[in-house]
Amino acid sequence: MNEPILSVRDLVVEFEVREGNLRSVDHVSLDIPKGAFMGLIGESGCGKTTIVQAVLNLMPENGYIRGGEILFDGVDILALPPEKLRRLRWERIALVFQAAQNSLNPVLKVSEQMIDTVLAHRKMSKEKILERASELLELVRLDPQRVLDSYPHELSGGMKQRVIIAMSLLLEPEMLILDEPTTALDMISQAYLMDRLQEIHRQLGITMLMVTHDVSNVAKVAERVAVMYAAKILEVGGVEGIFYDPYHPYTKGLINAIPSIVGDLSSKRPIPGFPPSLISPPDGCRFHPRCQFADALCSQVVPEMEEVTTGHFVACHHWKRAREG
Amino acid sequence: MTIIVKRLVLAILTITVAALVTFIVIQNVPGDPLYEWAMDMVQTSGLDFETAYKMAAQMYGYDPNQPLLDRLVTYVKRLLKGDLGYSMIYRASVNQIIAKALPWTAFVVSVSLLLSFSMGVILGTLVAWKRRSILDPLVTGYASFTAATPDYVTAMLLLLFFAINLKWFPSKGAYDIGIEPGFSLAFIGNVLHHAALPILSYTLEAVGGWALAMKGAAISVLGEDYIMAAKARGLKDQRIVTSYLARNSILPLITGLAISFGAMFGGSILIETIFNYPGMGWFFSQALMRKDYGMMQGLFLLTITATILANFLADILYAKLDPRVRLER
Amino acid sequence: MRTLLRNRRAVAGAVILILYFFMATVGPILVPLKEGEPWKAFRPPSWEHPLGTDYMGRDVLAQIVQGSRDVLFVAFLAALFAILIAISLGIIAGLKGGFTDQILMTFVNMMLTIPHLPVMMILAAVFRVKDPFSFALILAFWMWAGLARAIRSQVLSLREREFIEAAKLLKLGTAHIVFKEILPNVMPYVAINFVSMMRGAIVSSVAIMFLGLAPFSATNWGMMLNMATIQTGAIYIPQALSYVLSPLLAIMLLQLGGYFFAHGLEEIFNPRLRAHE
Repeated sequence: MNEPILSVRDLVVEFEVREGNLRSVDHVSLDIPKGAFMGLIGESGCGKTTIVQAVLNLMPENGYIRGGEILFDGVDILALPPEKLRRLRWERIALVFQAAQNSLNPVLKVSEQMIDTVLAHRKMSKEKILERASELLELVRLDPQRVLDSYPHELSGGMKQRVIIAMSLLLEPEMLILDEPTTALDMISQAYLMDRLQEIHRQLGITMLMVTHDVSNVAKVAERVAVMYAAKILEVGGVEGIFYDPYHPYTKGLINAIPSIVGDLSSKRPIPGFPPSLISPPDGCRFHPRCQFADALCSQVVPEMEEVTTGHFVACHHWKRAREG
Repeated sequence: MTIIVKRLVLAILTITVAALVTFIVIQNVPGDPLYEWAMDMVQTSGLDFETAYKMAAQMYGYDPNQPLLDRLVTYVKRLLKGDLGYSMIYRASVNQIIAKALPWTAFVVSVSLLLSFSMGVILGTLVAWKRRSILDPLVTGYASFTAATPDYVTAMLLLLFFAINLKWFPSKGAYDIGIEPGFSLAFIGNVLHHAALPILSYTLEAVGGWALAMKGAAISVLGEDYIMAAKARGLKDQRIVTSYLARNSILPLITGLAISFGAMFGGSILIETIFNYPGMGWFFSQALMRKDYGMMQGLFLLTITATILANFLADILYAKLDPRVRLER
Repeated sequence: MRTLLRNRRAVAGAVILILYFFMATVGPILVPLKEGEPWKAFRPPSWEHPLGTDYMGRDVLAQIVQGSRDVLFVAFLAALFAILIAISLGIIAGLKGGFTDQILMTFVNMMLTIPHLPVMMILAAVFRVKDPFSFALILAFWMWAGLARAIRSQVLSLREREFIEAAKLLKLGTAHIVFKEILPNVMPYVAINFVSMMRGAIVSSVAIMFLGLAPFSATNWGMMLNMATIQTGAIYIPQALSYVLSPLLAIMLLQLGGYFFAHGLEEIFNPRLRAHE
């Protein structure tokens, strides 16, 4: 496994809401190896989007990073002064938001927004910028003639998504983070998009982090997968390890719950119970109220990450018991 | 195309209705205005009553002895020729009066609108962009205070303190009597000196309103995803505030701009009267106070037409600025 | 009720409004108008005349107090008339729909684009307003349009709701629907707007009186201003400062009170507005 290009260390993020403090990310540590295609999966509301926002220090109004570091190439992003942070954004790490369709300014043409993006970081002539933009648009299988001259509302959802992805590659970043790139797209567009992302990964060798709750898409494209639950990471490993041989009871339950076109549906089982409140989470292991292997230890002590096989980590007290049971 | 056509039709319809209603109202003045005019002329010019009455009828634009329908036809014909009537007090056609008065009103209103809009928009954007600064309560407080005060009250207070008490500004006229009109610096300076307080009256009031409106629009735009996305792309603050925030927030305000333009003509009635500034409003209030129905009618029609046209233009302007509103479909 | 008290603006506004109301109702009894003593004209404030005297030597304070009654009465009437018209037309347009609705709405749009003040002034000048009722009517004529449109949309949305369908099924009749179902739902909105309409009426009525176009009451603040500035030129006399200033400040304070109260009410009923404080 390669050296990590991005290292999240003990990150804590909270949101101030009316009912109190919502801790969306609770002492999370995650390493993303250089050149890998990593997937971060988990249910809605588990905190994965927050991690992504925190990486570029783009918290919304009521969000606060309370602790931890995010090391990129040895430098803590969270400690960067504003101008350096601005330069880092998009030049070295590009972030494609959830519902990227709304990421485009409605009153500017696509070409103008491409130009904006580049001129904020480099000096380049408009013609050159548009040339490069055209190349990238072709990479995502869009017609530059048509797209560049259009306004966002003239393009379909799927097209806008691909425009943003093309835009994200303009400055040749070292890392690309995508947050739920396939939500709000129909199945066919989703498949198409996944293929394009794989192509980009293979051709350009960019490190990719895809955050999603759509487990099946991750299985298709990712090389490494991390599983997140209730503001904590439960398991990290290679994609085959996670899908064919999961260690954590939650991961097992997750994989078991995925329906497939082939196979017996009757053996599919959802995980009983509901995700916990992040304002007052359960003590000890977050998953213990829903876990069939839980005992007194689980309800008191938070499990640490252990390496169970090479490159595969789990945070569970009784993973051995779970493998037998 | 259909939207523009519909709006145009509505505009023309409104003007027509207004013209008709004005006609009907003026026709129904209790008593006989021609009688008063005629008496006045008898006393001042020594004419006999018969002739005076006929002349009054001519100036007024109609013969009261004719049936209503004929009077209406004459009226409409006159209007289509562009003749807006005759003023009894000034013994001149309303068109002539408008030619002299309109430039002054247009000057003051345009400058006021420009100043208040630009200052308001900038303030509003700043307040929205920099959350939780001192600016917010200051601007909001100022806006509330000025919004509650009627513009003529502000005007009178300004007149009282700056023109009469402190004598920093003149209290009447568009320029001093002794100065030659022309493009000389002295003249322009003098004009500005006289126009300063009227412009201030409008502007002080309006800035608050624009700032608040812009702040509201900007805050809702700031909540949009593309602002966050723009930050993620590493765009400079300056670019985000201008091309992403302001440009999207201003759109709803543009319609308000044109509407304000029309509304200011209404406001000019009192402000110009208070400052004795010889614009459309001043002449209108003279007509009202001295019962010069011909001038009342003519000035009113012009004001209404200008207002309605301004609204119409605002709609078109908005459609042009917002690419999401399609005209040709 | 508690939220009302917690909102400082609304409370401040309410206090001011109550003071004015008090002044309008009880005031004239406490501070009666008296005949003037012309040799005392244009006096600055003193113990005997706290706000000075006018051009006829009459007490300015008494006139302001009396004037509050005139102004508030006309404004109240105007708002009342406007609301009655707006509710009637709004409900008719909303319920009947179709052609009637189209005509009414076109009419409303026209009324909204025509500038109000010049029209009201012409009407006042032509018809020589002699009493508060006709004055209020003229004012109301231009105020109902916006409210009518809002009521119509509310009616439209209410129309689709179940209890209207239920009432129709029970054949309870249009009158019942209107009075028992629609009106109660529309009332809160109307109540909030009542204060704003009164404020608008005050501004317009004072403006019209300022030009001397509705001379039925000599103590109405607008009329006072007319006498002070245009008729007697008191504005140029330094000692008569309080004479000119009093009606101005009276208007300003009343408007401020109304503004804060109306805005406070709006904030209470629409919590979204509070989100950015």
